[in-house]
Formats: sequence, structure tokens, C-alpha cells
Amino acid sequence: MLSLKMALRSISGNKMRAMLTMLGIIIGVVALVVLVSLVNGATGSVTDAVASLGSDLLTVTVSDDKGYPVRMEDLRSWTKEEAALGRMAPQSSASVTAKSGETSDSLTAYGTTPAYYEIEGLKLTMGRFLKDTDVDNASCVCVLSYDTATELIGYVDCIGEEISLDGMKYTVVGVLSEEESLMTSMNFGALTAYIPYTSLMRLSSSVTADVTTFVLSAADGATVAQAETAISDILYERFQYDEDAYSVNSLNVMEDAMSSITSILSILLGGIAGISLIVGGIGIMNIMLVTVTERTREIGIRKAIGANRGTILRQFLMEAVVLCMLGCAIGIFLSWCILRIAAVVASSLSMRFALNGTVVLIAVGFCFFIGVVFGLYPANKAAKMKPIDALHYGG
Amino acid sequence: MIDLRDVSKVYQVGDERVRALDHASVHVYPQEFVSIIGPSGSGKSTLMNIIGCLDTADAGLYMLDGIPIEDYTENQLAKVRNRKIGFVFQSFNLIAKLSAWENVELPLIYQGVKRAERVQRVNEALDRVGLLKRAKHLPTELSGGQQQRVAIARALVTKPSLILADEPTGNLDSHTTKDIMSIFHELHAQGNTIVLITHDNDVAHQAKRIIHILDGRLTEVTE
Repeated sequence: MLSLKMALRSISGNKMRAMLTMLGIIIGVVALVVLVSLVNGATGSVTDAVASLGSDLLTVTVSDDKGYPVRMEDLRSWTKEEAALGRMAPQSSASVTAKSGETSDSLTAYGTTPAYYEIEGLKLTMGRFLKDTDVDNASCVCVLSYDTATELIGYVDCIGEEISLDGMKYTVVGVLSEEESLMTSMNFGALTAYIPYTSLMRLSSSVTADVTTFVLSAADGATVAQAETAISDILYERFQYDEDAYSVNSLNVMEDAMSSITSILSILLGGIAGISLIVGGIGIMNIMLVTVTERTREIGIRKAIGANRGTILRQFLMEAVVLCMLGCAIGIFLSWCILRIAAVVASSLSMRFALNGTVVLIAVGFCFFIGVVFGLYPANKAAKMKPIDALHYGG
Repeated sequence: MIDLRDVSKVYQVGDERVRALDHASVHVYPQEFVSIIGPSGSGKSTLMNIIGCLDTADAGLYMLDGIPIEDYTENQLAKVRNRKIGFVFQSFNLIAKLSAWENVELPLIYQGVKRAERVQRVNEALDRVGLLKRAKHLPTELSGGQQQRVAIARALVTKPSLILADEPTGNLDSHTTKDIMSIFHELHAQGNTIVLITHDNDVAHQAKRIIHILDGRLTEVTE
């Protein structure tokens, strides 16, 4: 406690120098805390968005059907046969040119079945989604996303309006709600419409009755993992035990990928900030060496009146650690200010920037470690001085 | 008390070997007031360093309070300096950042004395040198004589076996010198052992026993 007081006094005796010395540590701490907190805030909000958008969704892609293509009837019968499998819906898309009055724009048309609505967790603002009869009759009806309705037609209340997709007339039967769904957020503003799968087969030559991509959800009371196993078993048998013929992806995989990207970014940025902290530590060592030389006589006096090596070592080590920890505290305070400002600026982006507790703890620990490591050499130099040499230093 | 037998110390200065102490023997008994006098370069600083356990001899035996100290480690020597010896230096050697009071307190902190006892002993020591009123002042705010009195208080506060003064009046005018010397006389009268090293004949002759040192050899003059 007493040595802490002495260290604070010695530091406050030379404020300008102490401030400049701490600057390295301050910058290092700010870099570490702010960068890692920003990365966590940004990726945290994205992963939250992904997680909230139903992670019980599986996407199956068939790359090689081995002459046994999947048909829509298969999807229906699998649902009935396997308890773990919930709804299934084909999902194919084609890029088409959409026209409404004078407006013309490219649009992604998704061909699917009514089950798609539940699986993807879509929400309607008005009208209805596709019906089984639409699929059976290959009706020319479409459901538009909110943005598509406003951009292509000009207003949302457009049930019954007719638009043309690649020259074919489609009647709008429903408009999705404005609230972001996973599909719309992934499209980043591109226009989208949902039409019966059978209808898309007419529009696009690449879409046939052979379903190459379909989505499915787990049945009530079954986990995604169980559904994944069930569908994988079916496809494994059907495609002649070739695991490469198809792939089953869940959003969990995306979540995992996302969090691994986050941690890699955090480690990378943290590493860079760590380097600046080490540079700050070298600055502290430099100044401590100067301090030790300047105070050679004081060290001599202290040794003459009975300070042993340990006492002198502790005194100078304490000074280095206190210098580091003060810098760390200032750095954390500055980081908090910066993050508060960033949170205000970024509030429109719905991102949450807050001081990350873990990284603050890491910063404190690392600063302490640096203080000890870089303070040890100068402190040891002071402790090893011979009392007579130190006493007669500089007269 | 101090028992120095055939002590030698050789310094290597460039190519030359300087024999600072040449088979020097000194005995100082408890409660004595001894002065060691010699011109500069005579080896008196070396002698003082060895007596004060700041340095060790190359050859010979040094017993302090009946304990041979040449085999002591640095930390053991620090402990001896702290408990048995009180230093008074020519250039006062107070720590500039600390107040008079804190300077006097320092050896007690190194000794591990509890705060309440420290307060009492520091006040006592400062009172003895008549500086209690200026306890909160920094050394730079005190005159030379006052600084030296603080240094004496610092030497006294641990109740050492020996007060070792190295040219304590060397930086002071004649009036202040008298002041400081009267404090030493007072301390001697109270039963302290004092070894005073000086090149000033007037100062040296105030001691009961005078030891002359020249070229590292000692000759004793008893009065």
C-alpha cells in the first residue's frame, strides 16, 4: 500500500513525462477494446438476425440425381413416411424481366409450393400465399415482396394487379410484410416474387419437374438434427450411396461459420492491438530505465539506510505497473466514450456497440503483464546497484 | 563495538592499483565519541564505507557488535545498516521528493515498524533535533543546517548502535557547524556511540579520541 503511494507520488511528480509514456499503453488499450467491441457488436447483430430467422430450416441441393430425380410427389410422400420430417417445398429460382405499366426491372422469381410459406416463416401484409390448386393448375399468380410491390407497382395495395414476367401475365394475389425475412434480407434489395413451381417450369427452361433444390422443416416435436438425419438417409439410399450427389445445409452451419469469422476477426484485431500494447510497454521500459538512472542517488540513499534489493525492486516495479494500469484505465475510459459515440452514430444500423467485458478484462490483465515484464528489467537494474556506487553517483 | 583488524582495500583505477586501506585496525568501544581525521585521498571514505557496511574489505576481519560481517550477503548488510548504523553524510542525502518527516520515517518503514509506532518515533527524533515544527517541509525548503538536522534525526530514529557521520559539517558555515556539533555532543552525552570522519582539525578535536589516517594507514592519538 505504501509502495503504491510512493509510486503514485513519483509519477505525479513528472506528469508530462508520465502522460507521454502512458500514451503508448492508452492507444494500445483503446485499439484493443474498441476494435474487438466493434467486431463483436457488428457480427453479434448479424448472427442474432440469422438465429432469429428460424434455424429449423434445412436446404437440400441435389447435384447428381443418378437417373432417379426427385419429384414433387416424392416430397409429399417423404413427409408422410418419415415422422421427423415436417413440411417440404421445392425452391427454384429464375431471373426474369418484370413489367408493370411503364416500369420494367429484373426480378428473381422463386418457384415453390404453399408449404414454403411456413418453412421460411414468411408473413403477409395482404392477400394470400400460393395455394395447392395454383400449383396443380400452374396458375399465373404471384406473391410479391413488400419492396417489389412498392418499387415495381408503386404501392402496396396491389392485389389483383397484373404484372408481366418475361412477357407472361401474372396476377398479384399477395404481398409479404415489410418486416425482414431471411430471404428478403439475403437478397439485399433485389426484387422478388413467389410463383407456383409448375408455373416457373413454363417460364424457365432450366427448371423442370426434377426438383434440384428444396427446403424442409423438422416436424413438430422433432429436432433439426433428426430431420437432417432422416432426409440424409433417404437421399443416401436413393442416390446409390453417394454422399457427394446431394448436400443438406442447415442455418446452424451458417451460424457456426459466422461465429468462427467473428472469433478470427477478434483474434486478428486483438493481435494487432496487442502489438501496439507491447510497443507501449517498451516505451515504459525506456522511461523506467531513464528514471532509474536519474534516481541513482536516491537508490543509494535508500540502500544506505537499509532498503534491501527486494524493496528497491518492488518500488520500481510498482511504479512501472502503476504507470501501465493508469494508462489502461484511461484507455478503457476513452474506449467507453468512443463506443458510446459509435453506438449513437450506428443506432440507425441497428447495431449494438458496447464495452465488451471480456476484452476489458483481457486488456487489464495484459497491461498488468506488460507492466511486470517491461518493469522488471529496469527495477532489477536499480535493485542491483551497489550502495556506494549509487551514493557517489553524480557527486 | 567496532573491531577492525588488519583490514585492506585495494581499488583498481585504470592501470594503477590504489591501496586505499593498508592493514588498518580500529577498535571503537560502546558510547565512545571517536573522530577519524585525514586529508582527502587518505582513505577515510573507504574506511567509513567499510565501517558503515556499504562496502566490504578485501582482506582482514570486521566485527560489528561481535558479529563478523564479511560473509554477509547484500541483503544481510542492508539489514545491518538499517538496524545498527545511522548515517549522516556531508551532502545530507535526503530524498528530495519526501518531506522532512517522511525522510525520517523511511528507515522505520524498511524495518517494518507499525504506523502508530513510526509516528511516535519520528516525532520524537525530529523533536530531539528541534525540527518538529518544520516536519512537513521538503528538504529544498530547509537551510543546510536544518537539512543536516533532519539527516541526524533519520540516523537516530532507528536507535542504532552506531552513528556514523561523514564530514557532517563539510557543507556548513562555522555558525551552523557549532549547532550541529552541539547536537552530536548531546547525543554522545545521552549514550550514543559516534564515529565522526572529517578533515577539519577543529571539528575532530571535539571528540574524546582522534584517529589519524594517511595513505591508508592509521595512527591513534588519544587525548
